[in-house]
Amino acid sequence: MIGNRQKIVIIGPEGTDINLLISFLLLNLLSWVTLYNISGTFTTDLDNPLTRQIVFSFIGILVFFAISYFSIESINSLTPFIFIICIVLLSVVLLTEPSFGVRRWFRFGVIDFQPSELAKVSNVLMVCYILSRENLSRYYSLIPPILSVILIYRQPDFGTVLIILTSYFILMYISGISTPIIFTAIFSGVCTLFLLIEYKLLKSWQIDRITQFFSQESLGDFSQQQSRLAISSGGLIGRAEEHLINYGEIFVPVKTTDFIFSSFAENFGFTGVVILFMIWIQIFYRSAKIVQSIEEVYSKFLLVGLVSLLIVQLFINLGTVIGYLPVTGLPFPMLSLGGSSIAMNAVVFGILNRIFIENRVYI
Amino acid sequence: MSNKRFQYFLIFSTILFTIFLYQLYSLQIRQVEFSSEKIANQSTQSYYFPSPRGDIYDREGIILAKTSTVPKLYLDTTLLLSNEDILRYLGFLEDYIPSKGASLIKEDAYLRNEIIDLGIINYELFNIISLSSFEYPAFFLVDFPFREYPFGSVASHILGYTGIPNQYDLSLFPFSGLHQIVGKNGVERFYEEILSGVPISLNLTKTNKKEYLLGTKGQDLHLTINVDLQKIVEDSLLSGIELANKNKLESFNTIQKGAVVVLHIDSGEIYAMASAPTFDPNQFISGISDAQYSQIQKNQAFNNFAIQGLYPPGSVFKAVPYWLSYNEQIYPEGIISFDQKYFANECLSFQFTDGSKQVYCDWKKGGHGYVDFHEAIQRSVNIYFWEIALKIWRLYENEENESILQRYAKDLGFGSYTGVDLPYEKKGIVPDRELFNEWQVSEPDLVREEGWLGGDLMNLIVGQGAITTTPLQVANAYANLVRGYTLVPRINIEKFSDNLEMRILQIDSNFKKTFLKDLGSVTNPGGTAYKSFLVMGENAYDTGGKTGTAQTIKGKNSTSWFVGLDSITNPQYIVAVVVEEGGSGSAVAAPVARRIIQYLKGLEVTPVEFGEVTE
Repeated sequence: MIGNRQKIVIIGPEGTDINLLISFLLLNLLSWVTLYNISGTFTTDLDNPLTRQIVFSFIGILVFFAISYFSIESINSLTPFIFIICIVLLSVVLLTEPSFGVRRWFRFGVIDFQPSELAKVSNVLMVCYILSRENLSRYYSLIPPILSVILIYRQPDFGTVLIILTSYFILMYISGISTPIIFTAIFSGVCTLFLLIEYKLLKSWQIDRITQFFSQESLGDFSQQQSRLAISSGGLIGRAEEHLINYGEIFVPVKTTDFIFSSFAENFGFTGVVILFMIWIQIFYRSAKIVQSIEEVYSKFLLVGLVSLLIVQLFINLGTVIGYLPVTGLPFPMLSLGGSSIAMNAVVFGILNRIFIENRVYI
Repeated sequence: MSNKRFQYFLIFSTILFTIFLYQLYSLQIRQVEFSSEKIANQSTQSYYFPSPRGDIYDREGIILAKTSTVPKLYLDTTLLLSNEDILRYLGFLEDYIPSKGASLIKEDAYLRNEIIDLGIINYELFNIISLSSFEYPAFFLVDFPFREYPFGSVASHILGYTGIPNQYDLSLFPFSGLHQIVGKNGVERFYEEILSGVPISLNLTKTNKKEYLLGTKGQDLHLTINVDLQKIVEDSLLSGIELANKNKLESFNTIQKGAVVVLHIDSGEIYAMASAPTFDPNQFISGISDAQYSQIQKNQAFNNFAIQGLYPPGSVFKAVPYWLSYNEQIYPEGIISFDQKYFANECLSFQFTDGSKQVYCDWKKGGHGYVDFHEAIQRSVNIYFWEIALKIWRLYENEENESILQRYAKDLGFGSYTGVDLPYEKKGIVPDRELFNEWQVSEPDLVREEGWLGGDLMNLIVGQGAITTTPLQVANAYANLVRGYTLVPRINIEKFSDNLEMRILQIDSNFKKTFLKDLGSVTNPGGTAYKSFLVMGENAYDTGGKTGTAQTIKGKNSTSWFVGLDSITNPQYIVAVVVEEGGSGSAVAAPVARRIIQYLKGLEVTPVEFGEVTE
């Protein structure tokens, strides 16, 4: 592995983890290429998805390095403050005018900010903050996810709720709570879902999506079937060239955001998918190595929390795109078009970078 | 923190990654061909909007069928962005066309690439939508063509009508599905492929790119008919039917069916063709009620009886034995020429070789007295023709020439399709021994056990019995006799009859002269149609024709026939008239033909009046 021990100071204080940086940049690049394949054009106009994403990526790179400046300790001490800001933003966003039927975005001209993206990270931070304090009961960590889930559920944004709860559940599981409690949690979670459906506390279209998903004979609903077709048409090396000539493109809804993976798989084939998986797996592998080697509790929890956050997002998105799960509307980390998503992933990568820097080990 | 549990988590994640990777592998490597096929099928969605059909003109260039447009509303779901957007459009539709919309647009329409047909709208709504096109960009309007027949029911049987294609239509004309309209009858159907153009197509590719391909209008069609003549013909037929109803016996059914064909002799062009009852093809455009449809169906108004009505021809068939006798020199026993007088009793009594004794009685009480062949035609003397049949039977029974009369009939086109360019033509029957033998197997109810007998030939020679013909066949047969060769009658002026289908008939100029002269005698003093043509005065001298009264089953009135000629010195048109259950041909059909001939000759057209009851 190149540069693990080299202290190449680009911007970071101790030297950025080159491997992680390259992965981060590669993922950005893959996103650009995929978006170029989708839109087929590149203009300086900010309405062009590729142009937007390039702008977001540069902001993301800045955020990556900026976050790397913060030591884990200072992040720890800032956590309650960040979490409170997040809760405030989540509350305020509920007062905005709904757009497309939901209140999810703060609109700043061309750029929209989505506080629920921030909530994903700040929840992990806050939960780790509580779990790492020995004088606090670990059950206090229930408060931040419940609080944010209630607010996010009001938007509504079922996908983010799912991610926050799942990554929280993973953190609690790894923190070592007793097995009966885990089963109780799973059981009550399932019961809650049924109650929500039964008493129609979910929006009708949310129920429709879920019931439709389970009533379909083939895998997934219409958009998922389209997505499977798109993925499948990629073959071994993709049909980035061929498909423009032979067939029209396959209609896949929201293919720049939630369903970007199907476009990626369509354009780069199984080879591309394997490469993408390898990038992610090596990030997780290296993180896992560090988790097991470091002693400091907060960093350890933070690393587990952030990795599980990424893994959960990856799996839920993949499950949706392939048709294993009902459509929830979640971006694929780093690939999907979206400023908030890129920025939050940059924060995650920045923190990972800082933890890597502070806990250099031979990998 | 439990390192063990972290390891479990890692293992679990690895398993999930493997599952996903395997799923992607099977999708991308193993199912790639299957998917490619599916994609090829759905890669572009095509929507078609009908192009106007070709116009139909009469021979003078007067438009008989044209295409107008109405605005039709569509929704392009590729321009819908969200559920909320859909609700906005649904709200709009709820306000303006509450009957539609909600049921057509699904809530997830914005996820789909579709063009939804919201139907024909009125001009008020057209204006509203045009003005709010900025607000509702996904609506789009198309000028939707529909068929119009400016003359209403005139020539409706020739023109036919259009409708939405059914499964059978689609199998014949696959493209009619794209037009959503197909000719159902008449030239609309026969020339469907010419009249229907290329539809406008809108191809939606999955990238929301739209590709319009302009269609082309169908080709125009020029018919041989003259609409003014057609009107006179239809009008005359209707007054003939009215007349027949006024004069019929109480016990008979209401008379409503009939047909007329006006055929140009030299070209085979149909100048007019009428059938009753009639219908207005315009009523099918916006769809008619089931009740209306079944009423039309019940009246058999869709039937063009000029080519689909099958009637025994009665005495109009006598032209065939007339021609046969001339060529074959077959006359009643003891007669050796056309001009030799034969004494016609009221009844003919004779014995067949099979021993059966038969008595045949003429329509005229007391008999016709001394008649030659010319007078036999003029007065429609059945006895004379029965004698000829008897002669044929005695000469040729069970020989090849036994069917000589049928052969002559078939030569003139009886018993086979005329080949007119109109759909659903029927061909009728010319019975002979062979057919009766077939029927004994296939339809034993229709024939007696003994098979073909002399009596059947006796019936046939006066156009009775099992023989059936269409009015067009009769008109065509007379035209063939006058011109000396066969031609395929036609309705499309641009269609030229195939020379291969032209057959020279065994007709010399002397026969033609005699035949025309004898037809002329029918409408003149002493003829069966004299009274009907009397109103024409001197102008009747030049006209000609042959009456026919074909008996049908008991309880039904006879079928009234007349085949007229506009001129015997310079014959141009054959006018064949039939009124189903109309009674005597000379009384009902002849005055109808007379009125049409008056028009053809440019004379003053006088009303149809009841003629003399003969036959």
